[in-house]
Amino acid sequence: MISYLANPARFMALSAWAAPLCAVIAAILFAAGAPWGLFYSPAEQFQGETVRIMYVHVPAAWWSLGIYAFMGGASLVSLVWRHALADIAARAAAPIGAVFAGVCLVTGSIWGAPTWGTWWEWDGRLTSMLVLFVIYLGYIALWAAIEDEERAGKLAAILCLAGLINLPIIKFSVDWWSTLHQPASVFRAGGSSIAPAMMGPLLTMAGAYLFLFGALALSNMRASIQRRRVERSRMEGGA
Amino acid sequence: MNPFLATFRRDFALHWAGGGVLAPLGYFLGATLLVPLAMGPERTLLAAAGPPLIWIAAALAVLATLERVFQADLEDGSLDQMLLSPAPLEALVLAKGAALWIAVGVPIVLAGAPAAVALQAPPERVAAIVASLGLGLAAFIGAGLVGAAVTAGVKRGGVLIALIVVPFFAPPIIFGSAVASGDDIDAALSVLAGCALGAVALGPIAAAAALRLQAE
Amino acid sequence: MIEGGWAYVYAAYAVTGLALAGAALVVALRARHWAKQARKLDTTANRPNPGPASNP
Repeated sequence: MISYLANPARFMALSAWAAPLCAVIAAILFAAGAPWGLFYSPAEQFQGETVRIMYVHVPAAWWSLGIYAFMGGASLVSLVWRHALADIAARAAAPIGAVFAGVCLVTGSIWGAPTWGTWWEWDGRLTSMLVLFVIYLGYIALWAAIEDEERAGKLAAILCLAGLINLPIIKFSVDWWSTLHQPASVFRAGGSSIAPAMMGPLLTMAGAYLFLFGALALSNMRASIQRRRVERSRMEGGA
Repeated sequence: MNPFLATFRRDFALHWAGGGVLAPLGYFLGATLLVPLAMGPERTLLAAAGPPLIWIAAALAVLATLERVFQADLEDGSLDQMLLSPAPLEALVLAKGAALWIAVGVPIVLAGAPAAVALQAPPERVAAIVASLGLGLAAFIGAGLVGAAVTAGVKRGGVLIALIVVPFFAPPIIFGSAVASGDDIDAALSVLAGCALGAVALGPIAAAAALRLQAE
Repeated sequence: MIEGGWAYVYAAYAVTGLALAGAALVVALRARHWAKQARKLDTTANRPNPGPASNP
């Protein structure tokens, strides 16, 4: 399927309707999931109404990780099969992943205020997410710093794969570190004890985030392809 | 001469020439000196929180050296020679990393002992701290080679390297600081050794792949 | 159990909505800009002499 889509013309034709379709699905899911989470789902036994923050926080956490994994896959394709489209896909996904990670951090901080009584707790999950956010920033900054796009794409792919290896190590070490410094008695955001009534809004919002990512990443890729075409013709016209 | 040894010697000499090794060492000691100035000289407070801050100083000192690891090779054409060498590029990058570890890392490791004492680490822990610094700096350098290689063509890439490399520094800092504050020293040391091994094994491979792209 | 807390909930949803809508807006504007440029290219490409590249 990857090689089928690797043809830019075919990709442009397909994404021309896939991107708006994803956007429409995302809008429908947000319109359903947000009120469901806000008003039509139960409060929680310990966390009260604040548990509703989970429906915007946890999907952001899931997909910021998922997007990084997607970028890792695209980077591998770029390095092994040298598809130009793979570089474009990884680059298009990165800022969206960074926004999701940022949303996860800010909503986690807001959730922490009533739960832990502080705006920032060096909790294992939040700390790992902060590191992931920095990884995203570094990846985006590397792309921006290198002028030759061909080279930038391949170098960023190497960095992305190195980061992908690093992520589980960070996860392991941060978990070890946070159990060392505090007993795990705090509320666990999105732990295993999610009531069935909460799964509905949670999964709806997770779907909404996913389709939003699809719409934005496809639009970004389309813009990149068009920009490259325009810039190439400008260079030829100027020469 | 063996290309590995030749690269090692050349880089080692470059690091020592013109007091190049003094700069990161001075940076390390300067950062260590700032800790009590910032926290106050109270001994109980320092003993509780001071020793792990050696790791901040060590990380900063390594970060300061990374920018010039490959930049000069790219500018004066020695990178092309390295690519033409019969030895694999990965081995030559490893040689450069080893030279950096010996020339810059070892002085910092040795300076780590008085720095730990000054930051009120208990004397019986100093040996473990020195050993952990040796392992941790190897992990820093292994990961740092990747950051230096992908940013080699970027003008004034120092800040960019720092941003890229910091996430890779997080695990060694966590386990190194655990040693410094005396938490579960044996476990932390063995994980640090694993970090160092992984970074030294994988770092040169990724860095060499990046350098091949830089030379194209 | 935490009583109330609606202010935190609304703040979290507002921040999320603003961030996601902002990202979507930036992406949409960028996509529209380059789609327009690409269309301009298509309409001028068939002429014999496109002349110097026009910068927006």
